[in-house]
Amino acid sequence: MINQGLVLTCAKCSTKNFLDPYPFWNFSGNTKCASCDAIYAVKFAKGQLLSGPTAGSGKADLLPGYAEDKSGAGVTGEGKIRPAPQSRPDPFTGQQKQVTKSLRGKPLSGSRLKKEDLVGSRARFIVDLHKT
Amino acid sequence: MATTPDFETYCQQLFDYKSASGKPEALKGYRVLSCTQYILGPSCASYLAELGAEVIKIEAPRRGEPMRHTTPFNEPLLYPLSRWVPEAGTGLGFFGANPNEEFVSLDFHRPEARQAMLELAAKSDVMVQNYRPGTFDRWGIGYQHFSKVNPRLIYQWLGGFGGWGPGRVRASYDILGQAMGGAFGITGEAADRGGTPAKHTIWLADYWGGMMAAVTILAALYWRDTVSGEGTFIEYSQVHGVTRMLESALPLYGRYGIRRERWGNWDTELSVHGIIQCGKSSYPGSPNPQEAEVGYILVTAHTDEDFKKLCDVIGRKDLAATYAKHDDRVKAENQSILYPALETWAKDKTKEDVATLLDKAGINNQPVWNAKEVSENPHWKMRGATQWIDDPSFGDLHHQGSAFKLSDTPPRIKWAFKPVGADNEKVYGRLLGWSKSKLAKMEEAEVI
Repeated sequence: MINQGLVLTCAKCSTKNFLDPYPFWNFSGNTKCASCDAIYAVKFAKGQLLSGPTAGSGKADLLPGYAEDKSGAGVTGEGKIRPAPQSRPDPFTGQQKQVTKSLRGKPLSGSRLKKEDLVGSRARFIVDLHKT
Repeated sequence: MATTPDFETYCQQLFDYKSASGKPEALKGYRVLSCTQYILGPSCASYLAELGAEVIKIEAPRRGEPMRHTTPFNEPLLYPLSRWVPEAGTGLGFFGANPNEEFVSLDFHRPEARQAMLELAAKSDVMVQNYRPGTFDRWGIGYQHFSKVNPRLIYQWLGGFGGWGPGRVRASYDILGQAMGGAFGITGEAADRGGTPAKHTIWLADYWGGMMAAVTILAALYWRDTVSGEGTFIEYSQVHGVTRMLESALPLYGRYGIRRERWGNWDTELSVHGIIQCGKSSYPGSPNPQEAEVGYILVTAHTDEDFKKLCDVIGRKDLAATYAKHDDRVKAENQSILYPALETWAKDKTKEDVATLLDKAGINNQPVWNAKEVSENPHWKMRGATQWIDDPSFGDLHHQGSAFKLSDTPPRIKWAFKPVGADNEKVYGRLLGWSKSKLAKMEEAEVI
């Protein structure tokens, strides 16, 4: 029987916290709910949840990779979820490089989007581009 | 005898990559499930996708596989990562090993997911996965489970160390494979020039391993479709794949007990046949610090005749006389005299200056090119080795073209990749008959 633990649904606020299988593969310690900061102790071995999530205290050792609140909206921001590894900020601007055009000047989806910018899984401006 | 076009015209007409879309695809009709991550497994599936197989990549919901979260330094990402996470992007590390695939999300741990996997396997020809050994068997989706629902399935597992043996349960990476397989014993600087091993930053062991696995899958498909009618379980060890490339190192050791050593950018078997430094930048005055660096060029003049010409070009006829015989030139101590002499000559030249002089003398050479120089070269542009694609998800992308060239069934790059779960509706609806409400329910239940 597989004891899955990829999604930790917070007992306090019902936020779904996604615990990526890769960093959590052999993790043992505290994580937290991205919305309400409730601490949970979990123990994984080889990708399977051995114990938890148990309500705990103290600091989170590893943050969820992604989270959605009750309404399905993504919970993001510093200290809420773990940023995607290695997508480091530019040392001069403090921001990741955002581009809207390729080297030869044509539209490119290289900038952050919001839910309303999407049609299905595609950026709206790319969809519109292909309509014309 | 009927008139035929000359070979160049003939090849150009047959292999023009821009007309590929009007031709059939060699592997169309084969369906491949790809539960792969990083490069080793994904590249295997992507070679099949380039050749026309329908490849369905299955990733963890929301954030997908870890290679999406790697990107060189602070370079731009492609957005969205998924429709659920539009503000995050996929890193450029994901490029090159995932073209032409359909992307669905599934949490393998869930019982409902296992059922979906069994149903997908029943309707597929090939399954590729590169999780740690035994993981998928523990989750009830290994070959032993799939072969019961589809005895014709070809199941390819790739891992670092093989599926059995005491050293199997470790994580492997390309660099680990190169280290353990013996490659770093050979690649890198010679002992008297620092002795440092050098890794191939382009994940050579992963891309090579993916290719080995793809060839094995084609062999298994041939056997199934022409002989046995049965599926096959295939195991590939990344480390073994590196050892397979060691050429003379093992026979040399077996015969004399000698370890083949690192010899840098020179060659142990031919001389002159190596890379030299040229003292000047090809882009003088460029504000781009990357372009201020000096250049390098490969020089190959190992025959007696070419070596004499080379010595004439660099004004060292004395070297031509002293090292007239290849047996003398190839000796380690003599290479240590010849290459510095070449670099002394090239000190006030760019790599292009050196190439021009060597071309004029009929000596084979090649400046060492960077991505910009490869991208702008007309030969490789014409052949489609580098190409711009109008990607339906991400827009204008510069991309490497397929290296396979088939006259009647050419490969093609249709798109670079898609966001996580972009094809959930299409794949689960078409293949498993899931209704809109079932899709919504599975999403709500966190299965997809």
